[in-house]
Amino acid sequence: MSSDADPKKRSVSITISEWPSFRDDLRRVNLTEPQRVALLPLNVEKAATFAELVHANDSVPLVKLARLAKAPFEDVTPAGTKLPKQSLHSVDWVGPTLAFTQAIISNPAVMSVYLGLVSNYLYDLFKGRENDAVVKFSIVVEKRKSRSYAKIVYEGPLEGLKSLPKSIRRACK
Amino acid sequence: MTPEVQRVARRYEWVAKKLEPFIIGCRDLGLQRQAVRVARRLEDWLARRTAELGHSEHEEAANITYTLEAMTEAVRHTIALWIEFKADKAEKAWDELVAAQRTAEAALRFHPCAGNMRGLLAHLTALEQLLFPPMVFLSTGLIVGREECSLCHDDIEKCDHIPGRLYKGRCCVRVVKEIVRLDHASIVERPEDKRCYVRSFEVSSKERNRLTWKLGPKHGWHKLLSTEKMPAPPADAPSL
Repeated sequence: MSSDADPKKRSVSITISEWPSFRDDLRRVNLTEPQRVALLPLNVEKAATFAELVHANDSVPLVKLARLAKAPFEDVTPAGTKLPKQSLHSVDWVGPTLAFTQAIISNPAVMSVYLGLVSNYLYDLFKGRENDAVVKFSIVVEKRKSRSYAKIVYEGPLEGLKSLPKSIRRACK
Repeated sequence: MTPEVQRVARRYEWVAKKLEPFIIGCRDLGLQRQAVRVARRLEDWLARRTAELGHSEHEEAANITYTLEAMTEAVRHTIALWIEFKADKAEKAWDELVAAQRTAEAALRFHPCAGNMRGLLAHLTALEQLLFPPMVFLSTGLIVGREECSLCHDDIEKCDHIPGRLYKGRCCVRVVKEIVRLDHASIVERPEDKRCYVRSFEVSSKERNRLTWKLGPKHGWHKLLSTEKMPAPPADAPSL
């Protein structure tokens, strides 16, 4: 059944939390710290080793679209390794974690290229069922002064994505 | 638009207009069956045009004809839904509804020329709500390894084809070559494939079909999937 009648499904939820152990977590699972922008596996926080890491299903098209737009994501995995992907069979979209450092955040034009890439991909993907779509993904940002990291978790409909830049600015303070 | 695509589009529009009346449920069953045959012929003809245009490097033209083929298929499934429904085949009717929705959505993604599929999708949503009960859907979560591109057969991560997009009238899809493990199976409100649903539930020593409400013999798998247990009927309740 369509979820149009269910207002809860269509509300936007954006939570911002500190991620003080971000660098340690990356080291623990043998990933390198991004220099500009990267797509991180879904379970960096919980995984104990590299072997447990899993990428989101749609990391592949996003990596390709970024490459074609000449704004590639960095590969933070050790050379020659590849991670398995989580393949979900639900209309709800669980996306990869995007990690932005200050090198990107300080340049709003470049930042908007990446956010536009994700939202354009999603609008394309959900054509015909825009009102039914629920997307969930995280953005990790490096803070301007402390250089520590914060995590923004977005869950909600497509039209709520336009509020993300404001949340990123707030998280970066 | 090239003259060849204009010719194809004119033929499509002419046949589509003839098919349109038959997406309504009260139409004659024989005429609806005939409409399905006409739609199939149009699809075959469009598939041949798509292949020709794709081979001759007319990428946009091939993508348009492929989209027209998907639009025809969506209409055909909508008519077939009624044929099955009127023949008392609720499960097949549901499958046709889902096929119509999926094809119409795909057409919308493929090319802007499929804009009128929004109207068909609204019609199908209404049919879903009026003709069928609320469904309990299932979804699997897999961990997958190597995936190939359906177009170039290279590792999906290496080539430039984007899954879900059209290239010379062919759709790029990810072909899973390695399943690492089954992560979970879950009950979801909005599955990717609405054909994955709980089909029956246990009623004493039998199973009741969720769509037809008929009682039938137990198949056993309901124990894994059944989400509700019916209370025992009162002793004087009439049998259905």
